[in-house]
Parts: sequence; C-alpha cells; structure tokens
Amino acid sequence: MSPETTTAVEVPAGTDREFFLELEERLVRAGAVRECAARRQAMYRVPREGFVALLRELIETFGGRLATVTGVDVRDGTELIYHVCFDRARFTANLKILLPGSADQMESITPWLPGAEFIEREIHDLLGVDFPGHPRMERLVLSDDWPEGVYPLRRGFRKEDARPPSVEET
Amino acid sequence: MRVTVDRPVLPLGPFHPLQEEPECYRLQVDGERVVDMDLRISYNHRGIEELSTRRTFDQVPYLVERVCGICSASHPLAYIQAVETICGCQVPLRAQYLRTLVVELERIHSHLLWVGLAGHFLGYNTVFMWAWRYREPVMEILEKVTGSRCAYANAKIGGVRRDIPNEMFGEIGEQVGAMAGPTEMLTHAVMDDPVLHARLKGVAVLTEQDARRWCVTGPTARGSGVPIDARRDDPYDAYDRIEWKVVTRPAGDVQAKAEVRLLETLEAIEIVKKVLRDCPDGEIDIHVEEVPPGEAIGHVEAPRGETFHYVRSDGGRCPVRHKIRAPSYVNVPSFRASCIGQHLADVTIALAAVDPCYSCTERMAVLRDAPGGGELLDAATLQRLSVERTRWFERQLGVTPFDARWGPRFQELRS
Repeated sequence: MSPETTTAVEVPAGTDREFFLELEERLVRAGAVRECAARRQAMYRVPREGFVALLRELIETFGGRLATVTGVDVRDGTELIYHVCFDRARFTANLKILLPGSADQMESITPWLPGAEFIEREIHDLLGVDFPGHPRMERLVLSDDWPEGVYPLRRGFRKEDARPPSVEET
Repeated sequence: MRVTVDRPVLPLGPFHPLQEEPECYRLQVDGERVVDMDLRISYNHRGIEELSTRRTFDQVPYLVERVCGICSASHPLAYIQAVETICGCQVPLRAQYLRTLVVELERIHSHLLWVGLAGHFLGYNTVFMWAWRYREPVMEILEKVTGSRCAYANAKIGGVRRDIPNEMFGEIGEQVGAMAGPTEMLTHAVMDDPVLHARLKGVAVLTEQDARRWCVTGPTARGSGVPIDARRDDPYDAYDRIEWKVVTRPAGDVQAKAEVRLLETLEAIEIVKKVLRDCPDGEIDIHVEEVPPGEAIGHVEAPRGETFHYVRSDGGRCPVRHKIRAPSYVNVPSFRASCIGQHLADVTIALAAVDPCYSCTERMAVLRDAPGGGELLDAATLQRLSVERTRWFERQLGVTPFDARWGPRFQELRS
C-alpha cells in the first residue's frame, strides 16, 4: 500500500477526527505506511531511520503514552511494535519497525522515557535485540545462569540449549 | 548501584515476608533512608506468551485468565477484544452488559482486597479484617454468576459462555447495594483517621510528571492526577452506554491512591446497579467460524490498571504472536521515582501502594475418603491435631502448659 492511498482511508470509528488527521500527516511525513485500521486503532509500518525522534515527538508533543513494545521474530529479522496510546483522542497507534536479522539493534529510549526500561530489558533477554544507550542492561526475565546467546522467544530456540552445563563439562 | 560500607544493600525478597510472590527489591540505604533501589522479578516466569501460540484461539482465554488470580476477568477480555477486532465481529448487547458486570464485580473485590492488605502492611489489622469481611459477599456473587470465585471462564470470542437469569438480577443488586454502606464507612475511616493520615499522607509521592514518564496506569496514575482510564478512553462493552465518572486525585501519595481505590469501589457498585437495571434481553453470543489473518490490540481497565494484549493471526488455528502486558509491569518500576528518599519503615506501604499483583487462588480444601465418602480431616480433627501439636511443643521446650499458666486467669476474666 502506498502512502497516497493510506491518507484516503477514513478515520477509525470513535477517534477524534482532527487529532487523527494531524497525527497521520506527521506519520506519513516520517515515511509511515498504514497497514490496517480498525476501531480506534491502526497499525503503521515505519522506517527505522529517524524513528526514535518521531516516537519522542509523538510522546512529548502529541501526548502519547507508551503502552508497551512487542518483539516478534519474523522471517526477515525482528519486528518491534511500539504501542502508543493517545488516551484523550481515543486512539492507539501501533508503530512497527523491522530490524533486519543481521543488525538486531535499536537505539534505547529509556534515557528519556524511564518507563521503557523493563520492556527493553525483557526484549533483550527473550529475543536478543541490543538497545545501545540503555542505562541498566542486565538480566530481567532470565536467570543469571542462563547461557549467553540463547534467546527463548526466537523461532530457532531448542530446549536442549537452555540446559545448564553438566558436571563433566564444568 | 555502587555498594559501600556506609551504604549497604538491604534485600527485600526474593521470598517477600508480606507479599506472597517471589520478587526481590534491593534497597540501598543510608541509615534509615533509601538512596537507591533495584528490582528483580520473573523468579516464576511461566512463559505464557509462548504457550499461548500453541493453543487454539478458543483455548487461550482459559490460559490467560490464569495470568493473575485477581484480574482473571480482565486478561481474557483484553485478548478477546483483540481477536474480535481482527474478526470485525459485533458482540450482542446482552453479552456486553454481562461482561461489564463481571469485570466491575472483579474491581470491587480487588480494591477491597488491596485496602485490607494496605492495612495489614501498616500493622493496622482491623482494616484488614473489615475489608476482607466486606469483600466476601462479592466473591460469593461471582461464584453465583460465573460458577467460580476466580478464573471465571466467563467471556469467550463472540460473547459470553453463560447467561445469568434475569430473576437473579434483583438478588445480585441487593447484595452489591448492601456493600455501599460498609465501603463508605471504610472510605471515611481512611480519609478521616489521623493515624492513617500520619502513615499515608505525603508518603512516596509520585508526581504527575513522573507518572507520565514511567508510563504508569490505573489507580497509580489516577492517584497522581493523570486522568486515564481505558473504560473511558477506549470504551468497550457497556461503558459508553451507562453514566459513570473517572476518579482522580492530584496528590500522588499513598493516601491519594487509597482514596482513588475506595471511591472507585463505590463507583463500581453504582455501575453494577446500572448494568443490572439496563441489561437488555437477547442473545449472549455469536458464532465465530474462524479468525482471519490480521493483528490487533485490546486493552481493558483491570483493577490495577490497563491490561494490554496484542494478538497476531495468520489465519491458522493458533495465534502467531500474543503479547501480554499486565498493569503491574509498568506500575512496579515507578518505585524508583517514588521510594528514593523515603524512610525504610514507609517503604513497605509505598511498595504496596501500586497494588503489585498477588494471586487469591487459595481456598480451603476438604479431603474425602474415596470409598467411604467421609471427610478425612474435619474441623474437630484439625483442632485436636492443633492442640496435640501445641502440647508436643510444650513438652519439647519444657515450658509450663498454656492452660496451667493462663487458664485460671481466663476463668477469672470470664466470671
């Protein structure tokens, strides 16, 4: 779907019209493409370049609230979906960026949004995405003796890899 | 966290003495004051997100209602909302009202549970006993309308599983209405009690700015003057058909959060009454044949805050990805904004102020002898065993038996 066609789609039912058009205009300017829209929510595919600055603007200027971030292991790499709720305007924007498999790295947003600290640590634990700039990138979900480089939410995860080393090996 | 001799670390956990869940707060203290803290969770990670992708769409609600024993109506509802958005289906009106009824009953029992626990953390056990006693009728109503005190298995994709006969509405309304009095009494007890004021006012303040920076939700946000509530901001089920108001308090301290919860309980009682008054007749579900490819989010205002679910479907039988974000996940880290600089004695209630999630699944079990059907351990046997155990300890420790020492004194007091 091209950006031209996305602007033609009508406002999701129940969302504040003026706010939505302004937000959509900003997102399209950043190169976002709307994939689907339903009742008071929409899914956008957003380019990785300049994403953090865009997110910061959505939260600080548009009054968004970061609900959470979802990490998905897909065929072409890792998808991160930033769920931003605009409570007053009754709208949730889901911003999807693709990290190609070879570069599982995304700039951390924790330095200016402490509420993202836990979710970035969790995605790092479970999917192996690096968040350069994160102030406390320590284990959160996995135990301290979990083997390095084994990520349980990746498609290729095998239970055998997560076994603690045997007595002979140690 | 840099640990030095004059700034030691005091671990609260991983087996917390008050909160029945494994979690570890590492408090760095300077004398009696907390100067830094770190938190470790996931000692009991259950891998529900991954497990969910191996269940069919219809089985997942039973799985996610076990995320939390208290929010066990909210989690399935958030998931079901997401799936219904993918399907684009319209749920019958009666089902929407019945869903609202159960989540509001859940809110009443969860908030009263918190008030009781808050009293317990403060050493004010009268509040604990009152609150839990007044909470009990709600559990009984929930058992009556859903068949269970927790894990209700009430909502399903396309509607609800069980109807509630209209004849029961009067009885439920009466019982819930009767709770308004005790709840008001508790509210006044908290708002006007000078002892509670001394322990709660100005303690562990989470400012509005910090509340927004830490992305908190629910009573934790509303107690800091951030007026967000998924029931109003993304109205689902019957919430845009009945009148109710969002309760906020600007102070941001523990007192404000307690007030928000108590006033919300009163508001929930009113919502339940209105739901029972307005609930229309009709179908309770629609048949959903299959879930098409797509993705959507669902959020529900659980008692503790917004429960957020994201579901992706590829048109198969199971979700491809299911992300669950429970409210405590965003509320708990805000301790770092509210607890630092506090006295150690105030930290227990400050940590409890966001209502970190417990499970209320424990109930008394009666073991029965399979062939005979008789109770293996009845009340008299349990009491006898308890007395025998006390006697055994007394003999082992060589202390004077309790009755011999205190019996005459009790007799004297009774007469």
